Amino acid sequence: MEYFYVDPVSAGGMDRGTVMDRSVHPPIVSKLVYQIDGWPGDVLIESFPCFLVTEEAKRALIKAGFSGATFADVEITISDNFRDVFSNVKLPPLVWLKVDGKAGRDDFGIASNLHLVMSERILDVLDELGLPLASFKPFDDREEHS
Amino acid sequence: MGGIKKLSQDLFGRNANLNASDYVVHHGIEQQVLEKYPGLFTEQEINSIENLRGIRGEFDTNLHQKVIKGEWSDFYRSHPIATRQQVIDKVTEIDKKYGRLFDPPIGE
Repeated sequence: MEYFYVDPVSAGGMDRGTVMDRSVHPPIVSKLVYQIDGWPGDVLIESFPCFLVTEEAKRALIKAGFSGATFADVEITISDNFRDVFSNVKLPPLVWLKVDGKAGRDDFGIASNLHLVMSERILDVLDELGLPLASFKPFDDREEHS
Repeated sequence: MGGIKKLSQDLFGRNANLNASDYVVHHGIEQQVLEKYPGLFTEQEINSIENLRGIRGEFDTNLHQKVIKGEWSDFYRSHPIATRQQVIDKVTEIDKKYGRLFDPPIGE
């Protein structure tokens, strides 16, 4: 099985009300409030150290079956930028994708450099739905142990 | 008047040839720095005109959401703790790289 580093595009960032433990790195986020500032159209977005997927992507992932992540609720807020400049854009429903898998073992994992790693099988599922702005490069498991 | 319209007016009011509705407002020091590094900057500093940059709406996805926020994601990854100066230095670095694409341009 091939694995890839995936750098999703951002659509904003963490907003007031997010709760995280910053005594560890990456921080452990227990409540996520994500402020949308623009909408790139990708089905997977990020704000370090969190990832969000569209409901459509969630359904596709459940159908395909996957390891290394769970879903949780996220509170979405809208920035003034988005409200004033992109008011004609319809946002899809979003869910928090909590990645806790091992890079190069699970379908979703976090590498030692704190970047997201996905299996080719699951990357194909999301890419089919739309990841036009994400960056990919092959993941080499040996880098994790060097 | 509040929110982005007020910020836009502050930013673009000084530049009569720019139409605020064509632009998104980018915060040099990101607003989420308030969550990532609590206590490092105040909301007033984040929303001060010195911290605002205009980006044309059509550049928002590629320049703002992808490239600049990607730079900040890398910064957050590599800085579990940051000083004010490190954050300011990152803003300066981003302004140097992409400031010519802002309206009004920075660093030209």
